Amino acid sequence: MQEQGNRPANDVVVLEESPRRGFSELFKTEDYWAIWLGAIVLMIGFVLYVIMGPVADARQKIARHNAVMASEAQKAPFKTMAWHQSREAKEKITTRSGLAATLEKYLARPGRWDASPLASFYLGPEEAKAENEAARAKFETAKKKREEAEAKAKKAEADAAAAGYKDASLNTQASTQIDAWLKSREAEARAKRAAETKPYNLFISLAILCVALGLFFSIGIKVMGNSLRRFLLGFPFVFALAALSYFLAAQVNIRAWGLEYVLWAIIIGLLISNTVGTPKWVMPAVQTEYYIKTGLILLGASILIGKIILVGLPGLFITWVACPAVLIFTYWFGQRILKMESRTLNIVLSADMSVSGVSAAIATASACRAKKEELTLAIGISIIFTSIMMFAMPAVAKAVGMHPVLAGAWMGGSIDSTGAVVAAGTLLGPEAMYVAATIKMIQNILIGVVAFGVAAYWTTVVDRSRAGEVELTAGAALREIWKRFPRFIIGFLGASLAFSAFYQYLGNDMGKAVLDEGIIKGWSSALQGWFFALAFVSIGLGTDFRDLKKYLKGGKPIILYIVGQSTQWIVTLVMAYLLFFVLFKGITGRLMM
Amino acid sequence: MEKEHCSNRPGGPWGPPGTNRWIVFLLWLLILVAFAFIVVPGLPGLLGIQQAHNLIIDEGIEAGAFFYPDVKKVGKAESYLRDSRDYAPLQPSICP
Repeated sequence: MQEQGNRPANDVVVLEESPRRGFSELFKTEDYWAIWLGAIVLMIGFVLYVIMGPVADARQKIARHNAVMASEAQKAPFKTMAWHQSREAKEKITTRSGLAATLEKYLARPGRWDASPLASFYLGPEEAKAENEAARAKFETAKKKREEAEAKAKKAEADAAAAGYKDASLNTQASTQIDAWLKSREAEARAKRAAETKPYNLFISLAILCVALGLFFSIGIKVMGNSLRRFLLGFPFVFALAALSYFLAAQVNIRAWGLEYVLWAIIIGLLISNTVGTPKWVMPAVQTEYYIKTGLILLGASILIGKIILVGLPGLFITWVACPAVLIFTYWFGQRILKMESRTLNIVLSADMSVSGVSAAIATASACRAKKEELTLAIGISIIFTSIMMFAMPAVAKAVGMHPVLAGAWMGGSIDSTGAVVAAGTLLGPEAMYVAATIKMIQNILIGVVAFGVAAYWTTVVDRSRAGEVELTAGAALREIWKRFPRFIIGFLGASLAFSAFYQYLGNDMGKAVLDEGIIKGWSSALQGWFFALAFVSIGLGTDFRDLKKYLKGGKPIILYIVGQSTQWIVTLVMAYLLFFVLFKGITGRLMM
Repeated sequence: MEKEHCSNRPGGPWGPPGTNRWIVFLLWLLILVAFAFIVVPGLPGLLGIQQAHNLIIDEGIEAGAFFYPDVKKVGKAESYLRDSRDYAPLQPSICP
């Protein structure tokens, strides 16, 4: 927290050995403050979406929709219109309370924009009216097409029903028409959103959020013995840059390339610190570790372990066998073949490419106490390769005529970031997208295990061998491990286990309504995004660009990434083929329904 | 060395020495703006992937989001697959 010359002390993501002071340690280190603040956020979320939310109402609605789907599934050999309507209605159920809906508005990030940068923050009533009028004609056309498609689907379904669902051609005709109707509904919904734009002013909500987050983090700053006044003075600057990074990432073309806000946060920070210099009064608010660890606790809450069996054993094997195997191989390759000087850069890059990109890099870097330059490098390489793979992999799959399920599993297991996986899947069609997105989601859940494994390995093997320690007794070794183990990882895993247990208790449908669509999407994930944006701006503001050069020596990180990624492509493709098309053919058939 | 370099930096830690720092800042800013608003939008046309690029824009996909709660379609995919599994039509399906 102190400055060394003009350099911020949080030079590493979690490198500093915090002095252990018994009970006082609980309130004197960033690790514990991250846990306390994360727990406060999650508890507030619980109150907003569970205690205050319409939980009983959601349960009733879900039961009603499930009954319709069960009955329709018994009736026809294809998914009927009523089946789809019930499913879509169920998907939208959430337990958001009125207060939660209000608070969500204040967590809003700068929105998507195209030609007018101001539209990211502000849209006046007159402009909104003009936009709606301009989009009205498109909406009317989409509505008409949907009505036509709906009439055709209804007729086709009625014809199939009249034949007792025994005429294969009528059944095929019905399902084809229903598919067309679903597409027309999506197009209509998009056009409707554009035609019903409401005025907004994010300048006010962002100012309020800035004050709220500044005060939120100031609790720990004060108790940890730092100057509250100096922190609060610098915080608005860091927050403004975080908002700017969201703004840049929201430009439609930039967004479509997957150049996410963390990249812009680092670039903006680097630009300032390496040219005009980071103002000294800002440095007390440059609290990389504090922001990143608090964000990671919230990230832990969205790692819901029960989801790993969603696509059965194939999905589990592709993610939980192939990914760790590639991670271990890549780490070995970096150490033994490339002889990378930095073990931490090696493991961060390995986790980044084999698990799930930026999120895995952040968690692993924190777990092994990597330097911030190493995290910056890993994220930079990952984002560039992800942008390329997002377009290249579907093109290859299309060129060789790959089966949608195989292509989806291949892309879901290989492309680093979730958004890019969904984009790549969408380019191939709905089946590929569904499989790709689900495989990636299961892979996201692996982050908790990887972060814990890396923290344990670093504590028990790397740090001890570095210190050249002699053999200890079992008890002394355990005490030593406990002393060195990054505390926030316990909070990270605790959040994951607590939310996973709650999800299992609620069941899949209620779990989705309460956690996925409620606490996580509406509350904790939105805040976690802001915390990471603050952290990456801080990394940029505290990094000397020249320090990055030494890590690129000999191009080893890039070679490692290419070798690891190529291995990932091959292993995932082979495993996906064996699992979906040799061992578990039935599952592939179900996924194609 | 670094300390000497830093001592030239009244405003912050690692900027170039002297009064040129604002010029360097503006130059890099210009490069950044050109990259973001000229190179990035122009690339899909140059690489022949304009159609794919436009589809991602039209579908409103959050291609940069790195974790699953930030991508709307992941939630849709998850619930679709789950319901397809739990409420699958009993007879063999012929749906696309």
